[in-house]
Amino acid sequence: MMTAITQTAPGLGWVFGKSFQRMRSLMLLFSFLFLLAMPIALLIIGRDNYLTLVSSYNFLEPVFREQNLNQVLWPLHLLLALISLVAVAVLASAGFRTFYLQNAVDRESSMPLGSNRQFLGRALALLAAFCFIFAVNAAVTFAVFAGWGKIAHFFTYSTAYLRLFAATLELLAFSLVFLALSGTLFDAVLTCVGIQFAWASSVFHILGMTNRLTDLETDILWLLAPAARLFIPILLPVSAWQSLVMIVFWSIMAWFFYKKRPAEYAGVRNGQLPWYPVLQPFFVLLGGTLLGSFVHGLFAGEQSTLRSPVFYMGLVAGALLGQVVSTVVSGKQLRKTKIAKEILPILGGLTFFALMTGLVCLCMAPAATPW
Amino acid sequence: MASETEIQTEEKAQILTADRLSKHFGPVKALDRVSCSIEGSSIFGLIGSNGAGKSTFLRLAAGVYKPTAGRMLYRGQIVYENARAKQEIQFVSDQPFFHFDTLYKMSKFNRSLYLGWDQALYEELLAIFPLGENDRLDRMSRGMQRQAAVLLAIACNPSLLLLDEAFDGLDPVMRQNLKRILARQVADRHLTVLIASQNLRELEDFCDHVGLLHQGGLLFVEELDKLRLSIVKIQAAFPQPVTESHLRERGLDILQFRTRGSLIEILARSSEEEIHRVLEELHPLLLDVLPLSLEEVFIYELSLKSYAVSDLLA
Repeated sequence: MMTAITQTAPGLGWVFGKSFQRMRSLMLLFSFLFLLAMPIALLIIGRDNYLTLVSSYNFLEPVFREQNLNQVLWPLHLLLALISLVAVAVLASAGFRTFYLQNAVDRESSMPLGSNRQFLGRALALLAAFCFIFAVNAAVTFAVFAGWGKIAHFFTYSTAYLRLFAATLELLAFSLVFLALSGTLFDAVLTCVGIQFAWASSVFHILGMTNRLTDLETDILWLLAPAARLFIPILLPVSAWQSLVMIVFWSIMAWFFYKKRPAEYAGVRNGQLPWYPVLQPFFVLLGGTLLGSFVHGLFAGEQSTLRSPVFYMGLVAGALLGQVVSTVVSGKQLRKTKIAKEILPILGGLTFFALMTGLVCLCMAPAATPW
Repeated sequence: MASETEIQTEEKAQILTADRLSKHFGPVKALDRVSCSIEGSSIFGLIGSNGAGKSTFLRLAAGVYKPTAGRMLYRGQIVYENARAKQEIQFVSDQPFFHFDTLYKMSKFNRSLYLGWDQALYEELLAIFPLGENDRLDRMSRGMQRQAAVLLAIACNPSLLLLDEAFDGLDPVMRQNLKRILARQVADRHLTVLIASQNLRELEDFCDHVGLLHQGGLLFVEELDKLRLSIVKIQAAFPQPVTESHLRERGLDILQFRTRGSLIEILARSSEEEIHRVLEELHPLLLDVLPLSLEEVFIYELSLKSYAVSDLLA
């Protein structure tokens, strides 16, 4: 029946090779953009201009020196961070796009490859792509600085560069969690961005209304907003170890959700998936804090936020609004949902707010001057 | 070394077994405790209307879906997450997906993935199917894409081929070609084909066995020849009045008895020889055996189970 088997069964290497091959052109595109943003930009600026600019703006120098940047490198580094952000979204989406098409899932799930290998192969291909992008850019930038006789500048900068690389991988691993959970690519991107925005915005508001300081270096603020960690290190020190720990954590989570993901999720809006209500409290929290702060600012700005009844009215109204918006945007049909099921995330979000406010007040020192 | 008989016996053994298989999508029971076995080297037709559970059954057989309950076994092993089993199974869904944009690239892709890939068979099939190896797959018609998917699947030399609405969108010539190709693969390479369709007529000259799915349950599994031979439709005319009870007294299992003037139309569960023998004793003026389509057989079989067949079949 079967022809003689002379080759070995395809495994992790096969999946890695095929995934890497598919994202090769995008990888080269982002490599080019990186080169444009750093070494080519440096060449355009020129050695003399670079040295002049680096030595002249003293008022900025101490801040950037701490972050291993200088007056020329920090805007270029910011560009790299922006490109990294886009690269994560584009490459991760390209690597996992077949998750969201039923016919593609039919094909891939029926292939003679286990789900572990399929996930690992793709994830390693993404890792290899980013390693390539960062390595090529680093090599060319090194060559530029070496040519200028300023290798010390490169080595000083390399600390910031490595932090950016770690933050990029952290964001990538975080994105993989939502790519594994979601039923459509649109929902994966929306939920990933939404959660980060909801978390960071809510925490900022809570810090503001409780008049607390934030220690950005080790703050849990960025745990659910890894995109911010691409940019924060430009101004303030952020622990690279936190990035490394979170890379491992999110990667394991993503793998776990990938293993558990049923094939029938493909093409289904997130609002119709059973896990979605677990995430809705984040959006309830966002809606509540945003509207509560807004209303408080409009009508009772002179009062302390947490003692203002107007704030709490806005908080509840905002919580309801956050729940409705997150339900509608996720593809869940409002008229078909049961009221009881919608109330739970609202209560969850409000409880979340209470817990976070309590934790912040207990664990953080008040600011010397009110925000 | 196994003898030819032993090999044939092994090939004919149950290649696919559904054991109290259920698949639920939330509150919807797409399949509910389905149990059946499919013999090797045969063509099994899975019939059912939209939403009956045919595609779900095929996806469970291909290892795409994980069963909610029960098991789907390929040669005695669970299919789901079984890479070894999937080396021998090919699934062609109703909307094929191609990782690459030409047949040539897809053939290279499949060759690297499937250990049983047969390049000679691929080239042989390419000569039969009217497809250009370097034509863009995404610009082909639905029917041609389906042909391409079937071609690639057969060239992987599977033991089990799962086809979801394979003939949909194919022209009559291509349908016949495909049936001929599959029949040859079954005969020469002991391929087993499981084909899902809404259309009984499409499968009746092609399948060895048929099963009828309805609302997630398997109502009916039968060998096609046995099914056809088990029911006979006769048109007769007699010099004297003949009633249904006359025939029943003579031992015939009458399913339907209709009179149109002097003509009598009888549907009986009997062999042709038996019914001839019984009716000849009544000295008929006219005695014709009428052709019976598979659909009519189904109608009568299922009417015994009180199902309205118009609800079940397309």
